[in-house]
Order: sequence, then structure tokens, then C-alpha cells
Amino acid sequence: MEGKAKKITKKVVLYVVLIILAIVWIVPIFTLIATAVKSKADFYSGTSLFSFPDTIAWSNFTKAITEGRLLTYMKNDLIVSCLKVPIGIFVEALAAFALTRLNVKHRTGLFIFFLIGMMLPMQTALVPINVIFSKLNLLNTYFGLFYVYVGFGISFGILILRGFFKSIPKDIDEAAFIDGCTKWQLFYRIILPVAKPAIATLVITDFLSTWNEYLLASVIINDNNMKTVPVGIMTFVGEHGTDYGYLCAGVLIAVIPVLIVYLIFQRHFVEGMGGAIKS
Amino acid sequence: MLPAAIIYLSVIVVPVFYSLFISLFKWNGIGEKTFVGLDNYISLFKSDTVFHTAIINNLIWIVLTIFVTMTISLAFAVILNKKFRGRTFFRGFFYFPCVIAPIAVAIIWRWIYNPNTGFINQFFRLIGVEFSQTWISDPEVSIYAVFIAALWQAIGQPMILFLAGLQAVSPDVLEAATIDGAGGVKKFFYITVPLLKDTFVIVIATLIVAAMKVYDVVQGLTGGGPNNATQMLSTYMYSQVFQYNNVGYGTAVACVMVIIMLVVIVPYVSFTARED
Amino acid sequence: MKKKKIMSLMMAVMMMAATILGGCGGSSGSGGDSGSGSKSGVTEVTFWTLNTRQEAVEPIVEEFNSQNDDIVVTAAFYDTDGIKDACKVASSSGTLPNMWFNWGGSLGSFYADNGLTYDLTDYASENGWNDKFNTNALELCTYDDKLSGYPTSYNILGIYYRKDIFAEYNLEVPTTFEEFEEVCATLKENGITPISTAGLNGWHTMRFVELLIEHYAGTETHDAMNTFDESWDNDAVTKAFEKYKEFVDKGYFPDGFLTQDPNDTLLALANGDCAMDIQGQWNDGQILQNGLDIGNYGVFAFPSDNGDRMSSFAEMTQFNANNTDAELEACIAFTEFYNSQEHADEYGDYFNLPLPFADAEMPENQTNVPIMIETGETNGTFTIADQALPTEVADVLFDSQEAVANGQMDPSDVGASIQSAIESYNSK
Repeated sequence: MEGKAKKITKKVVLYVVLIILAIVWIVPIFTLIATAVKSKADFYSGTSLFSFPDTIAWSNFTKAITEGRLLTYMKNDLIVSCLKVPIGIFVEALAAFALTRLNVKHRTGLFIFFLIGMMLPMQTALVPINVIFSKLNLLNTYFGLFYVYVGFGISFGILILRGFFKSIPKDIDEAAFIDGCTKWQLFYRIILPVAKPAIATLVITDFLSTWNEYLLASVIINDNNMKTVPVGIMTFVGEHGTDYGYLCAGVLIAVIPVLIVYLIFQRHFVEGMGGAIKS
Repeated sequence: MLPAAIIYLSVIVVPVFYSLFISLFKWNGIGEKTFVGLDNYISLFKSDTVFHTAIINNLIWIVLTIFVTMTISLAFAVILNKKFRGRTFFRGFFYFPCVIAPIAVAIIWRWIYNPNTGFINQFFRLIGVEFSQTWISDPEVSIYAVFIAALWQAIGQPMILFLAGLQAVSPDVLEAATIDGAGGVKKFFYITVPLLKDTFVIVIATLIVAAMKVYDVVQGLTGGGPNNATQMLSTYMYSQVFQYNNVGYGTAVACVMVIIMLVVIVPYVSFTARED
Repeated sequence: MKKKKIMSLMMAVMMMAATILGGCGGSSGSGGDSGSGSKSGVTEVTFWTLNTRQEAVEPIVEEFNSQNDDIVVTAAFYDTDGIKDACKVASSSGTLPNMWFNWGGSLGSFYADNGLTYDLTDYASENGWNDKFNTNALELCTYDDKLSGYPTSYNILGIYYRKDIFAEYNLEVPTTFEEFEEVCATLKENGITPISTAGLNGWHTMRFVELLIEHYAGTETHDAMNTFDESWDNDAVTKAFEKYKEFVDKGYFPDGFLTQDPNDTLLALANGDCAMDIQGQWNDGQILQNGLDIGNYGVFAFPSDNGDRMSSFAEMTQFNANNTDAELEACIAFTEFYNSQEHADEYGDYFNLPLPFADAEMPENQTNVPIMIETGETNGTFTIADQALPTEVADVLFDSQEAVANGQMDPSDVGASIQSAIESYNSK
């Protein structure tokens, strides 16, 4: 009896805490949404920034899509992200696998070598990349942007994947070898599935950072039809004043694809090591 | 591993060397480069007070990040790892700020911090507290105010990393501990935390790097002001290179950033990377 | 397992797609190299400009391209900070376009000083530009006696005020500095913040501070200070900042204005929280675009007791120094086409009207614009501080504004600090 009561109180406390946190958390989000549905007149009429207007200005959203060409930007961003994330992860997984499983010399040293990439401030890479790309005619191409993103993403990807690969017990490897697996099979059939939570996390993170990446995209791409979302959103910011409703509506729309990716891949946080041990 | 190496070399290594090279010069981006050796670095450390402020700000930011951001995201991850209804919803909810474009985050938080119409001060008025603070305009407080805005956005990322890591903590081990009579807190510190070691490495490394490189939120909210109170190495580098055309000098700032990160992270990582 | 297979399949497809796409190089090829030259008689030129002009530039570009078989113009758009960065990066990597938008003053001079812009002085005299353009506009685009851009707008700043609020408290437009202070005091007594300003990035608050400097230093000294012929370490600067501090302490500016966004100053005016805002003539366009009643907004020149000069700046299109003759002709042809009066009328919202021509038409409904232009002609103008000064010096000025407002710096130290920034700049 006592146990059950304790359990229920625990749950109640849990919910209360979460709800309080959620309320605190939601204020900025609420503002974002509230602004996105205000028309200019409402915005300038002095209603509090934190309340909903009487009429919802759907026009902000339609304007963002038509005038703001948000769909084009989203399409471009999608193309680059869908290219970059799978390929990037694949490349990084290979490297992480090599660093943890194969007998490569100077493993730690190489790892640190790759880590340096994470530390480089992007602004410093702008000019050299611009020079190289213009010579190779890679400016304004999906490939050019994708290549740079993969390059910058390598460090982080290796960091995460290596960490998770390391925590997979070597017994599994041995069991596999006894069963006659080659190294490639080990990689594909055992390690990758087992590292699913890590890979899922990486997919979400990678997609997000590629989707929201502004600096490199703004330099490498200047053809209007090829801009990505963050660069495109900046076009909503005016020279002498910003139509905030329009901007917020655009931001909200731009967030949708990332949320979708998140929802799809976050299920993997629930799966644990169970799968690996069974197989 | 070869593909990774090739791409990496071309995209990262080349700019790194280029930057190191440039930082030894005095250059405005176009004209002649004049070789000044280590002068840029020397004047940075000796006489540039803004640089000093920026380094201190970054260090403050790192400390805050490790102690506040990491603890809170770990707490969130632990709470959200328990089984209960609506868990998925809450996870997504707290992760949400992460996906919003940084410029929107800056705009929203500026409204929140607005001394007159902003949410925080209005809230205080509602509950009758006589408290008026200009938040981001106040040089003493601004960096912490900016940090909170950044915190709001930044929690999601480490949180899901911790969540993923927590999946690897086998429930069997925890059960065994309970049978042995360990309470919740003990279990946490003696079992979960050590098992999360690898995750910690990742999170700490990522957070430190992010803390050193922090740019968008600061630039958006305060532009480095007021009077350089929130100047960071990255914003300072930006103004030197892009606005004042002191490319050599600004790149030296960037190199200092990288060196600091190396010095902090490399020992930590190699220490934990040694095979156990 | 199945998922793995799907993933590897996806990856294989992606790889193929990447190589194919990489080969084709995106949808519209490379618009980013400079001076792509001519192919069989067709001159291709690239133009970088602000995205706020996009709605006008795109249709005009199409019109131009269809009217001119031998020229193809490609435009790329950036936001206000983005274009500055992109041009800087491009100049370091030699990839500047054939023509680009720029502001006058220290922003434009960087390109001129480094030989990146085409010297238009001869072209101008051959084509009678001195008569065509407003003289001030031309001057603001000239560095070292070389005309380095085609003026696309001439902007002049004044004090916008809410006529109805002034009427409510029986206030007249001030004609002396003392009257101005009285107006502020009355407004404040009645719960209105006199001046709407926002200090993020410093330039909006600077608009007020430079007027104070004009008041205390007088026209000649002010101009000399802007060209570094006179030191900033002087009494006028100290007095200006003391008065600025006084205004801050009396609450004549909004609370916490230092990190507010300058894009929002109109909002405070519209709400009736504030009564005055220092803006340029484009503000009329903003007022109309935001659906506000322009009858409520008037403008006056700041009474500096020294002739009431107004602050001004110009915007221009700069041309790449490496343009071939054919490219230059094409660029100029396009720029003239774009900056014609018909297009300005048609796309009024996206231009900074009026055009910088000597005989430009005033935009409809914008009642304050002609007032400002005329007053500028009568009273004279001075170059706005953040264009007159190089960015690093301007930043020190902004820092001082913030420091003084926060009580971190004494007004008497401002002049010295700015002067030492000037000296380090000069010794670069």
C-alpha cells in the first residue's frame, strides 16, 4: 500500500515540475506564435506583445510562402540536407569504426586531429573557401555547399559515433567473428544497428545544423533560386523596419521540416541495447 | 576512413593553415600584406582591453555552460527518461527551441527583456514587485541575461545526447543496485554517471567548443554591447575582420580561440579516450 | 535489419544524385564570378543589391534583359549586413560582381581606396552628370576627387514628430535649442518619452549625439572633426556628451534604450509612447507602408542654433574596376534604366525616394519629403557620423554613448578616447 502511494506522489510531483518548467519554457514560443498571427495594424496598435490578436492574420503565412518564396528556400535546404546527412553520417561512421575497431595506429592522435575541425570558427574559413570554390566553379552549386557542410560536420559526427561505438562491448565483435562475419558485415549488420540511438541523435542534430546554417550558405550561394532557408529568412528583415508578423510566420514554417525529422527519429531513444544482445 | 580524411583535409585543414598564416600579417583584405610576425598576438594580449574583456566573457560563458547548461540538460534527460505518459510530447517540447533560427531567438528575447513592454518586467509588476531592470542594457547583468536566452535555446541539444546515452545504461544494472539497497541518488551518482562517461566527453567537448564560438545569439541581442560588456571573441573577430578590415589582427583572434579550445579539450579527451 | 537495407539503398541513390547534381552544378549555373565577359556578342553582368529592393529589381531586370538582346543582367540579393560581408569576402577572393550596391562614406571608400571601383570621374564629366545629379549626392560618392559610384539615393535626416501629441500639449516646433529642451521637458512631465531611440549597434542614438555635437561645435569645427583635421578631444564633445547624459538621466529616452532595436523606433512613435524620432526621408514611406496616418507626422530640422544643418548620406552603385568597356556600358545602361523616374514611381516602396537627381519628382503622399529636401538645401547638410568616420572610430563613438549612458565613463573622457582611436586608425 505504501509503495503505491509513494509511486503516485512521485508521479504527481513529476508532472507538476514538468508543467511549471513547460510554462516557463513556452513564453518565448508563445510570443513567436502570437506575433506570427498579428497583422501589421495589430502590431502597431499597441496590443501587448504577448497576447493574441482578435483576428488571426493568416495572410502573414501566405505572404511568407508566396512573396517570401519560402517553399523554394525550403526545397533547396531539403536537397542539401538530405544529401549531407546520410552521406556525412556514413563517412563519419566509417571513420569512427576505423578508430575504434580496426587496428589503426595512433588512434587517439587521429581522433584529436579530427576534433580540431570542430573548433574552427567558420568565419575564418570563408575567404579561403570562397577563393577555392570560385576557381573550381563550385559556387552556387548544391554540391559545393554540401561538400563544405560534410567537411565541417565530420568532427562532430566522429566525436559522437566514436563515443558510442566504444561503449559497445567487444564481446559482440568476438561472437560475430566466431560466426564467421567479415569486418564489413560486422559494420553493417551489428555495429550500425546497435548504435541506433546515437545515429538517430546524429541525424536529428546534423539535419538541424545543416538546415539552420547561415554563414557558409550566404557566402557560397548568391543565386536567388538556390538560397537556403536561413539566408532566405534574412530577406524578411527590412532595411528600415521589419514586418515582424511576416518574419515570425516564416520562421514557424521553416521549423516544420526539422520537427518532422525529429519526430521520426526520436523513437530510437526508446530502444536500448536489447536489440543487440538478442541478435 | 579515407573519404573522411580527404574531405576533412580540404575543407578544414587548409583554412586552418591559411588563418595561421594570415594572422602573422597586417592585411586589409585586398592590398599588400605586411609581415609583422607575432606582433598581432603581442598587442592583443598586452594592450587590447576589448580583447581582454572578450576572453573573460568567453571564460565566464564556458563556466556557466558547464555548470548550468549541462546540469540542467542532464536533469531534463533523466526526468524525461522515466516512463510516463506524455513523455514524448515533453521531450519534443523542450527540444523545440533548438530548431528555431537564431535570429528569431534574438528578436523574441529582446522583446521579453524590454524594460517597458517586456514580459519579465511586466510580470514583476503584476505580482507587485517594485523591480525594474534594463537587463541587456545593463553592463553588469547583460552577459547573464544573454546567457539565459542562449540557454533556452541550447538545452535541447545536450539533452537529447544525454537521452541517447541513457539508453545505454542497462536497466538490469540499476535493478541489481536497488536489490543491493542503493537509493535513487546513490544509484545515479555511482552507476549512471560513470556509465555515461563517454556521453559526458561528447557533451563537454561540444559545449566548450560552442561556448567559445558563441556568436549568433550574442550578435543578435546586443551586438557585443553595451560598451563591449558582452563582447565575445567571435563577435570581436567579426568586427576586426569584416568591419575594420584588420584581417590579420582579426584572424589572430580566431587563432587564439582555437588554441584555447585545444588547450582545454585535448587533455580532457585524451585522458578519457585511453582505452579502459 | 530491413531499415539498414533501406538506408544503404537510400545512400546509394543519394551518392548517384550527388554526382549527377554536382555535374550539372545547380539550377542556374555560377552567378558569382566577376565579369564573365562576353559570349558571341552577349555581355553578361552581375549585380549585387539589397533584398529589400528585390521586388523592384527582379521585374526591372527582366524588362531590361528582354529589351536588350546583347546584355544579360543577373541579380543577387543580400540583407543589410550580409551584403557588407559578402562584398568583403568577395574583394579578398577577387570575386566581386560587375556592379554592387553600397553606402557612401567610409563604407564605400574602402572599395575606392583599394582600387576596386571604377573611376567614373571622366565618364561623369563627359555625360554632364554635374547637372543631372543633386550636387550633394555626387559629393558624398566622391573620394579623393574620384567619383566612385553612381548615386542611387540621397538621404537626409530630420526630427519626425507626432503633430497631434504636440498639439495636445500646445507645443510649437522648436526653433532654438532652448525651446527644444523645453519641449522635451513638457512632454516628459506629461508622461511622454520625448525622443524615441534605440542603441543597438549605436547608429540611431548617434543621430542625436551628432546633432548635439553640431550644436556645441558649430559647423566648421564639426566638419573639420569629421575629416580628422581637428581633434575630437575638445570642449564641444565634452559638452555634447554632458547634455546627452543629462537627457539620459532625465528620462528623455526610453528605458533600457541601449540595446533596443533601431528598427522599432517607429513603433514607439506610433503607440504614442514617444513624440519624436530622428529619421530620414524614407520614413514617410515606412509610415504609409505600416498603415499609419501620415497626417499625424511632421518633420523639422534640429535647432542647432548654428544654421540648423541636417545630417545626410548617400547610397550608390559601385562598378568593378576590372569591368571591360562593354561591361561598364552594360552596367551603366542598366543602372540608368533602373533609376529612371518611371520605375521609381512604379516601385516607389522599394526605392529610397526621391531619386538623387537635380530635378527629381517628389513621391506622392509623402508630405514630409519635400519639406526635408528643401530645408536641406536652405540650411545645408553635414555627413552623417557613421559614414564620415571609419567603422573602428565610429564603434568607439558608439561605445562612448553606451558607457556614458551607463555612468561608466565621464563625458570629459569621450573626446580623448575617440581621438586616440582616430590616431590608431591613422597610423595603420
